[in-house]
Amino acid sequence: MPGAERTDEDLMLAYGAGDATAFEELYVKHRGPLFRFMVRQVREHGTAEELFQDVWQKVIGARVRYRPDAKFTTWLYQIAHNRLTDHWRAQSHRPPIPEDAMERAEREPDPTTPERQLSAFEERRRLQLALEQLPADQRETVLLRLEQDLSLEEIAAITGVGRETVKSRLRYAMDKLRQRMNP
Amino acid sequence: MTTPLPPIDPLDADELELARVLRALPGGEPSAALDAKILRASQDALAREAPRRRLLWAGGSSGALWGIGSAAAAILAVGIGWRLTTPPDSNLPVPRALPTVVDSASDQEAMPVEFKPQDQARREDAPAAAPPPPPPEPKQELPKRSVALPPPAPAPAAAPAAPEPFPQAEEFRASEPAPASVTEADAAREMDTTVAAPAAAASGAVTRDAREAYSERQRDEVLGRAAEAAKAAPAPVVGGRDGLAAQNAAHEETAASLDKLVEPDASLTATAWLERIRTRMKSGDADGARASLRLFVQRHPDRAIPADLRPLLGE
Repeated sequence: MPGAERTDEDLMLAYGAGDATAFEELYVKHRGPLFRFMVRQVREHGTAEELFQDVWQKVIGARVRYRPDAKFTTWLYQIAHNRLTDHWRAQSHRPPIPEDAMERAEREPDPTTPERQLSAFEERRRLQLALEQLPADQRETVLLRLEQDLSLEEIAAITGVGRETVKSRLRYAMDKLRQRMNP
Repeated sequence: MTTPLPPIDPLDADELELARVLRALPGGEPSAALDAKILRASQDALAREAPRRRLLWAGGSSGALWGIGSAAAAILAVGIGWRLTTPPDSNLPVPRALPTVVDSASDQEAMPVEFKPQDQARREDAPAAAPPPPPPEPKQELPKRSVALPPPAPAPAAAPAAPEPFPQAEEFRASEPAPASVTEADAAREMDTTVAAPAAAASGAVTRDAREAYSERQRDEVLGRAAEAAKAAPAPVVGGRDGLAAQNAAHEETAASLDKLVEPDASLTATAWLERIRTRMKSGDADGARASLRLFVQRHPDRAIPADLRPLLGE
């Protein structure tokens, strides 16, 4: 389609029809955000890579069945959510927050920041800690909202709960993040 | 293609501020080796599929293309037959009043122009007030006229093999909006009742054999889909707007209560969930099984639906 940029949905349909370059285009666009989403959930690079690969394998496997009923992003993150759910099930529980998380964060060097003033580095460190302390559901919701820029409806579709539940999870998560960012 | 709508609620100021910090957090990237592995897998999948695609289209000359051609011929036959069984409106006397010479010359041009609105109006009126069945006289003409149709090509014996080669076409049709297929199916059903009798009377007629051989399976599929669509669609208007609204409300209420009923199934693993759907089926809870399967498809878009459950979705 010269001159017109193809949407994600067009690309996925094209891949389903046999266009390998369409998949490459999709992959390049979504690999970073999806990987970060995984890493922030499982907190471990190796496991994140394993789950990330599984998700794309499922995308590849489902290429012919794909129907653009929803945004491709919603579809992709729904698969990721399911894979994560399976992962937590297999683990029987979500791993606890590392005991030394606070200490490790405190040890991070930040020589350029004046006391009592939050540098960008400090901000990031606090946010990371705050995220790690959120319950899994709230954490996933806030990541999908803030990092993936998804609507409440889309998050509801991905996580399989109602819009009001998403709204409530998001509100609690935001309150906790704000508190930790501005103690 | 349906273009999905953009998100309807953009981030507010608070969210934007946190999003800015969040996006600056180091998250890492997949390794180059992993990138290569995934891209290779995507290409391998297509490569494995290529022979199948070729096989599908290799059958095209004798299978798929023949099937498409036959389908077009059958639809044409049904359409023309339907018109022939439909008596011209009394306020449009031109074709009958014209002398024979003029009739034969202008028939082809005049028919579509004059009868199209009439047919259309009849279809639109159909749900509200069923039109009287067409008078029997025109039926006598049908076999004679239908002989002039373009023959649906080769031997009818090849017909049963025709639908197999193009599952993609099936999928495409299945995703078409329901109203269109309902109208077409209704037309087919109507034809079935009005045309079948004279056709049966004229035993041994080539047109009938060819049409029947091809269209039986096609028609069953279309009617099956139409029945599903009719089941899903609101019932015909009986009590005016209020009646329709009440029916819609009742329908939505039933659907909502079913959705609630099957919601706990979603907490199961995918495999256990499918088993649960089978259990529902076995216990006679077809509606629950269908609702649960719909939810399953929604929650596990990457999963293939097992063959034994596909009929639940009308596939």
